[in-house]
Amino acid sequence: MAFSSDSILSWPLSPPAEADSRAVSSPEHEVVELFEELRDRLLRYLLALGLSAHDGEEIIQESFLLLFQHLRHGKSRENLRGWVFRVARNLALKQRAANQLRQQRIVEFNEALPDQHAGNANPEEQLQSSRRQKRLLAVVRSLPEQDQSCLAMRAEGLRYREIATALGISLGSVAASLARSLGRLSRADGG
Amino acid sequence: MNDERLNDEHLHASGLHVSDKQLLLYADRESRILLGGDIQAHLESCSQCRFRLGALESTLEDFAGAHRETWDTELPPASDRHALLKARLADLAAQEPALHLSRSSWLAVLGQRRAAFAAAMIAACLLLAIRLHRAANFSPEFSATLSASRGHWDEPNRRLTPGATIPVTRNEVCSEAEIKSVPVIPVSLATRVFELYGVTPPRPDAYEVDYLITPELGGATDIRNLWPEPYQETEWNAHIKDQLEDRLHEMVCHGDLDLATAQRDISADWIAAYRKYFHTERPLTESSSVGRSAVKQFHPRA
Repeated sequence: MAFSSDSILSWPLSPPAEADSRAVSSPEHEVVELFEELRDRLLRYLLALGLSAHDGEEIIQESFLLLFQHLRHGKSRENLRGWVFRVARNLALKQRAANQLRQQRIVEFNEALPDQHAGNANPEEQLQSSRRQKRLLAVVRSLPEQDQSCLAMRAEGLRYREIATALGISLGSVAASLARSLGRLSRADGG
Repeated sequence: MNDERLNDEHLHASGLHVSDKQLLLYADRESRILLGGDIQAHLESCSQCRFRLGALESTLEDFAGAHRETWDTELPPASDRHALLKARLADLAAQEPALHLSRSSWLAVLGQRRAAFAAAMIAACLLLAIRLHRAANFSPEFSATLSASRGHWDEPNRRLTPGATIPVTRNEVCSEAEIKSVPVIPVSLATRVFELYGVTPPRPDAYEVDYLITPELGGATDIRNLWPEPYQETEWNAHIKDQLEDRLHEMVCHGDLDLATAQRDISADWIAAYRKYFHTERPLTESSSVGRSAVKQFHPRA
């Protein structure tokens, strides 16, 4: 059987991080453009870290203002998405430590989850799907913070080298973390 | 990378398969140049590895779906934040002129004013040499600054960051509302702190602009109370200081330590304070400090 390499790449890959096409625009334009691309992804990641939407929005604002200064000083434009995620994560961990909102968020999430699946599935399917999602996310919450971040950033479409920059670890460590976490998810899912 | 290079014939001869880590790198196109050909060839003939790759991607997709579905419901509209960012960018751009010139601009400047530039550089070097000489002989504080400028600041420069507080009572710092209201430092202030310590451009990826006296102990959002503290470059880093802040706050709120002493100890030498209050010479690991996070859930006594 002929095997098509493209058939396995169903994952929503983003453009190559090292070939940033924004280099010619002004820093303001560049920052706003990247904000439009990353705001939802960053906010979901920060929510998953346990921050409130308000804190997440503030941290995203600060991160992009810092990016603006980074660019105005002519610093490297390589892997800006990883850079922004790294700055936002650092701010978020500090904020999270200050707020200690995580447990509260998890409780809220667990309570809210069954209501979030009002698609076309029948009630029984919805219940099964909701239980499975809860099971998956419960496994993720039991992982070390770095493994959780790897998964969440991957879920937001970041390439491995972008995740590596964001977390300050090697490419191999990112892949090893994901392999480890996916193994646990798969086992928890009965795989 | 060579040690990871896969040989398809060897894989088959030895009965080996591609590891999950290598499959993931392959799927992300990270290893295609060096490993891709071999892995692709192996995948074409190994149904077991194809199945595993499909399972890995399927699990990732399932998690990504759950992740997005869970948090999408909580995303506020982006429009107002988009406008706010634009306004703040314009404000920031107006506050300070661009500090960086493009390469072509630099060349143009050098071409037109090379002599003036060279003279300025010589003058700057002379001035620096004089200051270094004076510092080495007369100013321990300045020497400390220079020493720190070659590395990082696990402790702040006392001259630049002596600490600053706001008038506050123990009940106020221990109230639940106060605990949850630690502010994010405005980027304009953080930038000034970086500049003060000679970190230009700012390095928010490596340093936290941290309060010397945390707001949870009455510390002020004041440039005299802020310094760029490394996240990772030293064992006495920002995460370790967070442990001390939690511990002191806990002790103050339990009545085991008065607020003024806590403020004084953390501002005088936070590392010494850490050793004193944790009874250890070395920083504790983050995991061993998890139990102390309960301090944030403390309720005031009266």
